Amino acid sequence: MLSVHNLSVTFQIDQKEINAVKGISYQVNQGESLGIVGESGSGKSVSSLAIMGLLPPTASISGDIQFNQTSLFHLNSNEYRQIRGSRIGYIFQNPLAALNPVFSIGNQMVETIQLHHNISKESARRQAIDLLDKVKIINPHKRIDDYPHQFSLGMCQRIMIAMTLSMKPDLLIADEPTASLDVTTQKEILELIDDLKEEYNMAMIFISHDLAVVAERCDRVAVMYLGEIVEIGNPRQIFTSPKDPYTKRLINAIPKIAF
Amino acid sequence: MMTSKLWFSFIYLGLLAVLAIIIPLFPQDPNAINAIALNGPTPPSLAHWFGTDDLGRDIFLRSIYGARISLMVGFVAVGIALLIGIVIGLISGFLGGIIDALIMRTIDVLMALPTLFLILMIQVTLDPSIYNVMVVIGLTSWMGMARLVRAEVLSIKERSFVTACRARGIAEKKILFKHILPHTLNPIIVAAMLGMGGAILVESVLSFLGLGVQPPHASWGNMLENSLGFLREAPWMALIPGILITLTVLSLNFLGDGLWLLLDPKAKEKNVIRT
Amino acid sequence: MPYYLKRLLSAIPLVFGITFLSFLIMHLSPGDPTLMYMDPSVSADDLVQVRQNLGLDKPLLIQYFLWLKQLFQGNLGYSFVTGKPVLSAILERLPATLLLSLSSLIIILLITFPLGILCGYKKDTWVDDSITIFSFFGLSIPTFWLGLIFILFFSIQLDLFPTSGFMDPMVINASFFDRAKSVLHHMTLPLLTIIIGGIAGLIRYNRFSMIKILAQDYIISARARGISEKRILFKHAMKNALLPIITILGLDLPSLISGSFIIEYIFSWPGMGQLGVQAVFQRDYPILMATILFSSILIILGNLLADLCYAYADPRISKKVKRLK
Repeated sequence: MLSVHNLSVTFQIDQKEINAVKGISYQVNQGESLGIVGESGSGKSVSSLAIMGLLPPTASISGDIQFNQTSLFHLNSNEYRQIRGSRIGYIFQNPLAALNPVFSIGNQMVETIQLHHNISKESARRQAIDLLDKVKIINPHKRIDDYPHQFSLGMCQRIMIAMTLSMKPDLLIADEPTASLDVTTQKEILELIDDLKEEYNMAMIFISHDLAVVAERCDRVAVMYLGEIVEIGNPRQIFTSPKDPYTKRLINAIPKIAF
Repeated sequence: MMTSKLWFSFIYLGLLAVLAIIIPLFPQDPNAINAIALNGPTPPSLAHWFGTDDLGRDIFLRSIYGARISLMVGFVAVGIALLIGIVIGLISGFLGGIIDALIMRTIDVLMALPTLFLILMIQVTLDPSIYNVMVVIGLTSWMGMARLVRAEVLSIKERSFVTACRARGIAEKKILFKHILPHTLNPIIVAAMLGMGGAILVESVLSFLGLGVQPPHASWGNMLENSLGFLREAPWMALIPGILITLTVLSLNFLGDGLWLLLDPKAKEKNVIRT
Repeated sequence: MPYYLKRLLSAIPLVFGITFLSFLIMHLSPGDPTLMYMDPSVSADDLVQVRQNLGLDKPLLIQYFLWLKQLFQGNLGYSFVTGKPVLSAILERLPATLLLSLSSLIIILLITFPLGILCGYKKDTWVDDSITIFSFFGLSIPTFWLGLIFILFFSIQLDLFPTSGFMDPMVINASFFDRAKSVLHHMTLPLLTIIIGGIAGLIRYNRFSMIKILAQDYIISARARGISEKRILFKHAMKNALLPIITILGLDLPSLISGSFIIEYIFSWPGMGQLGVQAVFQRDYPILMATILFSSILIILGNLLADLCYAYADPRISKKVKRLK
């Protein structure tokens, strides 16, 4: 469904060139989940923002990204916009920052729903309440008129997930969706994502710096280091016989608890 | 774009400053009344680049003497404002608590006053002299500087390196002057540039209203006041000092803006890259 | 305590601070302060009595409160020059000042907001560069000189607008429409001067805040949801950009008012500013003092209004805003 071919991203800052992503390639098939692991700055977020076409203008991109057999780079901005949101959904690392602080969450959800479905404001609102209920926001018909700052971080992430799901995307990109949450909330959000992925039968790219989290829920894992994919394969294979020295270090870094 | 603005500012200000410094070495008296030309102002010519005024005095010469005044006012007034602003900002930010609250409320009061009128009031009460102008401008323009320093100190105080200093048992006074003060320098330099421009503008208003530099001594402001009676027949008398003020303040603003981008690399990067 | 009440209360010490400062400056100014409160026609015998009434033998702080009492009773003293009560002289001038400053404020807002946003959105293009250069010039030009240049060019050379005044004396008995037209004709140049001086800083500010906003996660996230650029700019970014403008406008008020006073003087606009500058020349302390006091109060009120608007517009401060439809 998605195929990234030889993707490179270069930033131009003060006459200096920074190669954030250096020619990576991978595929994601229908209903499959791919995990991308790597430390911060390894290019995992940049490469997925490139799929969305959301990199700042200072970035120059080469290579090719094909989504359902069409090259995303050949789309005009309107066609790209059709794909964003309705075909590919994106969940951000910091959910509070990803919600506009001056509009109620209902306003933002209704806007998104109406954008992708030709329905009235009232039924969009009903749909938004249903979705909030689905992501386990208590009292959704009341809380829909609240503003982002009135929710906890975990709840904000639930709202972001609800909003992304309202568009029924074929592919969900989750960019470290739990990095800013505490451990117990992390677990709840991860379970929520797993359940909904199953229910909506979406493909997923799950980005994380935590190899264990990725291995647990992904069909395949790609390890990124300094802008390159150093290793890609199924989690068992990577865990039992890592080929790249960086992968070995990653595995060794997972704390082993002895009882 | 940025570099060309900076070059323009450096060259213009450098030229003006050099001329203003060396001008007393030349024998021409800027206040000398030219008896032959007494019948009125003459337009710019080869002999008088900027023309002459109603008393036949050379406007170029007077402009350079005016630059001396303006640059001096800029330096001294900003120097005073810096001194007061830094000290008060450091005290307020570092001590915090009730002292900080008191200082900040006082600054609120002072900021709510239309400063120009406060200066006018003080100038009316005092003798109009250029030294009073410098001191009064300095005394009424430190508030923004103090707020800036305080904000910087507050943000630096919370950073871990200051806590680390405390943990090592370094005296508070030493932390303040050796570790915190240098970090506040960049925004201060930028604010000083902008402040100089502001001081030069205020001086020109004061002299224009007859409360600054007194005739026959030349300043850009009182040259403009003098031009009022001759707007129709000698527009250059009004144009030249105004253009000089504008270019000088413009250069200082360009410098402030350019230095801000140079000294605070984050200012630029913040807008450029986020991953 | 609700926010607006808290904000309202915090303005009270400000008013005390400003009146005390005004009192101090006046106390230090030359001449006997009693002279300021009195009708010049009062005889010398009565003067002693008045002095006692005013409590000039009492400590400074007591004197201040006595002065404050007078102030709240509407007695701001009498002009040294005309002998008229200061309050009526100021109130007479207030409408012209408010007309000029409020209309310039509105126009400045209408110009700077879209231009600043355009600059921020088109960052580092020729549009941005030229507006930026223009705004730097606007920041650097002495406004009183700009006024002179406008007079020189538009009045003397082109004879398009009158050099000074409020209204053509010929139309004083004409219809409202004709009078309004004449006032507008007289107001054009001073208005233009104030606007050019005032928009520069705000454009710069709007530009920066727009650049900052456009780099926020919620903008990228809105794009990721497929929302159109137009909607992102005019809905999502616009409302966030509007908020800081309210505050910065409040903070800009003192310089705007100081600036417009000099312009009033240049164009002989019969407002408080012209009154104040004339008072400078005539060393008319009571008038000058009252001008400072009045403009300070205008500034405090403006700031207060700005903060309240901000609180109303920002859901993070006022949680109970009504739903945006």
